[in-house]
Amino acid sequence: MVAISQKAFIDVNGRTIFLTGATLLTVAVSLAAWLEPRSETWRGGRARAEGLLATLLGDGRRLFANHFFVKADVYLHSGYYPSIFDQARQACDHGIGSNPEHTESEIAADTGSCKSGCEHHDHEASHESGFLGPPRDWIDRLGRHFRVTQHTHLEDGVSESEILPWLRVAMELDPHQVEVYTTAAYWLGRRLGKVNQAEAVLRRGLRSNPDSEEILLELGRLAWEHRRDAERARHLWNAAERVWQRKYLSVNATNRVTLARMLALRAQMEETLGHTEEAIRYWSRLQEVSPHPEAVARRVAALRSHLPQTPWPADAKSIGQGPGPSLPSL
Amino acid sequence: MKRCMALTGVVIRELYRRKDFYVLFVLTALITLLLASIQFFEDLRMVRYLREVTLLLIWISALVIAVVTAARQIPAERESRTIFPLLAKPVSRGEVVMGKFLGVWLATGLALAVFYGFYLLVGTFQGAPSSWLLGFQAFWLHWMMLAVVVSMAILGSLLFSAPSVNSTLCFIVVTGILLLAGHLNIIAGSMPGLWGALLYGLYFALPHLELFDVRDLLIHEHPPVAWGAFAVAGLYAAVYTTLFLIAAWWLFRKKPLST
Repeated sequence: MVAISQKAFIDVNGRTIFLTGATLLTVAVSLAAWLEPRSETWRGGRARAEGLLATLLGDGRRLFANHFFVKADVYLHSGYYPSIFDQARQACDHGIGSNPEHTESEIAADTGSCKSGCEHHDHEASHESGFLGPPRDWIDRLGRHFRVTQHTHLEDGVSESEILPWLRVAMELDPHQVEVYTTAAYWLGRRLGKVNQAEAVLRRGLRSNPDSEEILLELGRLAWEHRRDAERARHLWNAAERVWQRKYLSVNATNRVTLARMLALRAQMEETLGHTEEAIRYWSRLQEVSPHPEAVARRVAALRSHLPQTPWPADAKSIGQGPGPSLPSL
Repeated sequence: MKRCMALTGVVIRELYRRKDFYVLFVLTALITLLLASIQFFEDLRMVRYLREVTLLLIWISALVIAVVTAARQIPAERESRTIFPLLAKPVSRGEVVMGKFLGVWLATGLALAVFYGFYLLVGTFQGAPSSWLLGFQAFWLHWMMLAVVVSMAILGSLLFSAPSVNSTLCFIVVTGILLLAGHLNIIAGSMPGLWGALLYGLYFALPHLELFDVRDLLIHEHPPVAWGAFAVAGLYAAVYTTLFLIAAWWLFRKKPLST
């Protein structure tokens, strides 16, 4: 008798619990359905965030993107890198003003986004002379035994890949930092021979930054230099030029570099393909924007007078690497 | 010394009974293995980012274990009133401080050895083993740095009533020293007058814990540290540890236990 009453109690109790649970679940689902569309307004950009980082950090993640971009540069120099305090002291010692473009261009040059093909690092000289300077005291002298004081580069064709994880993180954190895509593409395509990966990176960058003439330019370069697809390169460079013209009304010191690179690459390609007329047209246009027009003029003159020109090597990567009058880097 | 070692044994047993180390080790191992499984641009040759993250996790974990364990030693004895039977035995207060320090330091060293062993193993399995010599130097320097931190936390436990306050302050001070102490001379150089002099004084007075951080050398495969400098760093840590322990002993000697 006792067992039966206990069973009945359990049955009733179990049903009550089940029904309560079902009611609560229904209320929860209804509330979720009601709240979800409304929450988009107060969650802002995070509501449409695609990744975990974007959801967690929102737009604030962009603050950290540059840190990881610089981290890639630190890796390139095998850890030999000035801290912000060293940079400030250097600026003070050399009377350099706080010019943000200076740092950015240094980073870009270092991580290989010096698109004119100049693989020479702009700030090499300052690195080689040693940002550390002589030890200031005995603690400083002792401390140098425990930190990186030798300036070496990742340059064996394999270890350069060590910088890529940080570039990937920087891309995640700030998808609109064009420089990160072009830098990653440079290292993937030209230094590590991963052309497909380089193109994938650039395409990803283009999806996030459809108005980037830099990415279009690099895609064109990839099409020509690695795939020998002149038609596709032409289309991409035309698109890059259209974007450039839409964005900038006139040529100035900053935007001139990109335009000059577009024209130079195009002229170089046409010349290699034997389209002399086209090549002259692009060299002439380059002459107008180049900071060293006389060198370009010499090339135009050489082409016009049909001087015998040695064909450029198939893997000629940049201005100034082919035969004929050497052009200054842009 | 025998009495010191008995106290030390108690502290070591306490560490492996508590869950702090296990939780931190499992977390470090999980994050490391998860990162190791990620492929960037279909390239499997990248190992330095993994070294960097693993070493950062090891540094954070070791710091947490050292500070939290050291900060609660004497307050816990006082709170549970076991300090009275302890001091009723023929144990001096100096021996209590020394025993507690040695216990925490050795226990932290054991934990650290497991962490560094894991680090070296992961490197070997990744096909890019780190230099074992530099690995040993990194471990030893890290452990010497922790000696300073542990002694600092024991001193703090006699200055502040709550272990949480002590732990928080220790974390702030240690992080501040690791990030800024090495640059104080540069900042002092750019500040004229009294403030510059004060900052310079602080620069020389602070224990330079950043000296013991050779992670960059490990990550970027640089040669090991010169043995002379290695020995001087050990001596430097020993001096600061002794200073903090003497201060702790002096405070503990004067401190009434009834409050």
